[in-house]
Amino acid sequence: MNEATTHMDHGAFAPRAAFVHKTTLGLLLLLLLVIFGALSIGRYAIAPLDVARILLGSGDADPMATRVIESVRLPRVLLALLVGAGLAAAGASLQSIFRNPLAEPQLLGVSSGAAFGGILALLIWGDGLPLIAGALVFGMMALLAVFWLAGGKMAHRTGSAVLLVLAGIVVSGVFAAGVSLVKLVADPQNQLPAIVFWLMGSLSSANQERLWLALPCIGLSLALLHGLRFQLLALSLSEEDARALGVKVGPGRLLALLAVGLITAASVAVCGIVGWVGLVVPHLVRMGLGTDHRNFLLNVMVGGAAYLIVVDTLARSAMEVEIPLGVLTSLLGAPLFAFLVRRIGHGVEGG
Amino acid sequence: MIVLGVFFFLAPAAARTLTDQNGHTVDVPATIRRVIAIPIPLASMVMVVDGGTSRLIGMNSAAKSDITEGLLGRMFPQAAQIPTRIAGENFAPNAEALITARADLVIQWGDRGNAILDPIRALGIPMLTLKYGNSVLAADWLRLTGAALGKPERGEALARWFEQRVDEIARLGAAVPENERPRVIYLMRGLSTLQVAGKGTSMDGDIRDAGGINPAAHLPGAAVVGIEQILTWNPDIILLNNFESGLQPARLYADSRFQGIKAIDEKRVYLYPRGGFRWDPPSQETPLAVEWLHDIFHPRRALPGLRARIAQVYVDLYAYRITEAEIDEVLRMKENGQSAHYQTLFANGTARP
Repeated sequence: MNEATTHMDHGAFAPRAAFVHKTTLGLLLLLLLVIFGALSIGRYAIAPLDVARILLGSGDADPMATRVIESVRLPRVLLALLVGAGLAAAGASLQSIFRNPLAEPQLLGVSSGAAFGGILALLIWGDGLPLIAGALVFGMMALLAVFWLAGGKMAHRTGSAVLLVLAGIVVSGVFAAGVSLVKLVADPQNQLPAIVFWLMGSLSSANQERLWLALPCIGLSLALLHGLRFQLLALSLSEEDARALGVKVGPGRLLALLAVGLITAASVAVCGIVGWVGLVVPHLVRMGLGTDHRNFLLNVMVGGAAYLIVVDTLARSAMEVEIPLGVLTSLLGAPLFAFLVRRIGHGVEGG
Repeated sequence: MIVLGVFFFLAPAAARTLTDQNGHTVDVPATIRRVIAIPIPLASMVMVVDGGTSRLIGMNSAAKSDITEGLLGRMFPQAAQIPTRIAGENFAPNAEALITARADLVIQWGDRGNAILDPIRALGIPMLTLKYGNSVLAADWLRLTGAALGKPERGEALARWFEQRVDEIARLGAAVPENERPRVIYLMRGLSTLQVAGKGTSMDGDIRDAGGINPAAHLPGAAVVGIEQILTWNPDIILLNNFESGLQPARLYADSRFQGIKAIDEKRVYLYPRGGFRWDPPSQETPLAVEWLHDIFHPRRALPGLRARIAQVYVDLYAYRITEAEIDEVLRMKENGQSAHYQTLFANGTARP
């Protein structure tokens, strides 16, 4: 239904459609380069030629280097790819849903919920799988709480976006307090350091197990968001305009929010709270490639993946000491975003 | 009424003046009946110096696990009754709890900011502040505790033994030629995040004293590093902390990330022992810990008789007669038994006085 409308719309700009595909292809190429670069860089020195040889599976490589690539760098780079793509797409989707360029996955309270669930599990059962399960369960619970608070029929009401944001703030506040409470009762020698590290956000414990846990959650959600890209585009106009285009807002929005919740919870579960990605990447893509929305979401996913891989490579190899990824994304994200805001501001004034 | 009560308790004129580790002069009442020890190792240290738990009326909740899990509970069964809710996270004391406890001396860390000191100062309770860093500082903790509790001879004797023994082993360590010193890292955390001991930690000093080289010695304090950094260091020996439950050599031997490291190939991963206190942080048992390190670093130069020495030291410190099975527990024979040289060095029956 809506696809037909939009496709008809696209038909008028056939030459530009080709341009859009080219930019996506270009971004994908960039992503491949970034992946190869990230696999070649690290504290353990391996020449890029050897990296290529190991990736192609030729047998004469140094076994230690092979292990570093296969069991240390590859899972970490792939996890950064997944989380980066997921958080960026989640941010872009929320910005469409709320028609607010400042919307971000943390907004819905899912990050706080997942953080609380994670450290609660850490306190009771310890590190590893329980933590991941706890983060997922409580992240989704936070999302349900937000929906419930904002009212079941929120999707059809005007001002529902505001209600959702308010509900997000409430849920966020409750779970943030819960996090502080758990930190207070945690054993300061044994458990507290583990909690603090995890909350700071890091991909340092990336392994195949975590990759396999994140892949279905984030992968399916991304596929869902990709399938909903036209509804999201329509939502970014206004509810009335969307209805006028024949798009049913309710179910699409609900599904998109679920996908965003799942992505956020899964990301927090495998690497703690990594902020700013959902804010910086969509705006970078908009600035670099314009506001053409046909391949926008795909571009955001690819861009987000490349961005987080680059930042995480910095985190693990810039110094002998590991820099927490969440600290680095905030440190880079905030000024980058400030710069973007000023550029956008000038653009508005000038135009 | 409470204020009056506190005033009444503080009223006796100060009989002695002590200078603590941070250079503060402290007026200590002539008789001390009620002591609160907030730094974790100080709970067991007060028991050691005082020979019992009767005057210890408050301690850090983290010290509880030494009583419930470690040997300390068997040495001092009454220790299980000591209240632990006097200070919360990060050693911050609860002022109301301090008032209710009617302490006449508080022992506290002095190098972690004023926030944890001011509530005690505001109440006017005499306070001894300690410093963390090199293990040898712990000798002074014994000395200060003895002076404050009115047992200066006992504190002094223990401190002297501590300093002399660590010094003896440090000399042996210093005599080892540079090329025979193993490269050793201490994993402060090893289960998911990897954290190594760097500059300013007691473990860094202990590794050096025992004749090892810490490749992380130039990193600040407790440094979080990636596995690649550890692969690059390629240490000969990896020491495991006593704080993460479930962390033991078998876990690292099976971990795919660690494969190829010399310490794994040669099976030289060791979990720190745990007696009346954990052997990795500084405590009254540090001289034993440094000797243990020296033995596993230099199996061919090992000092014979650590087991016998443990038995003797436990009589001196805790007036406790330890059994052979308990020594096995302390030395973690079960966890470390598969690691290189461990059985030969420390198994029951190998010890010759």
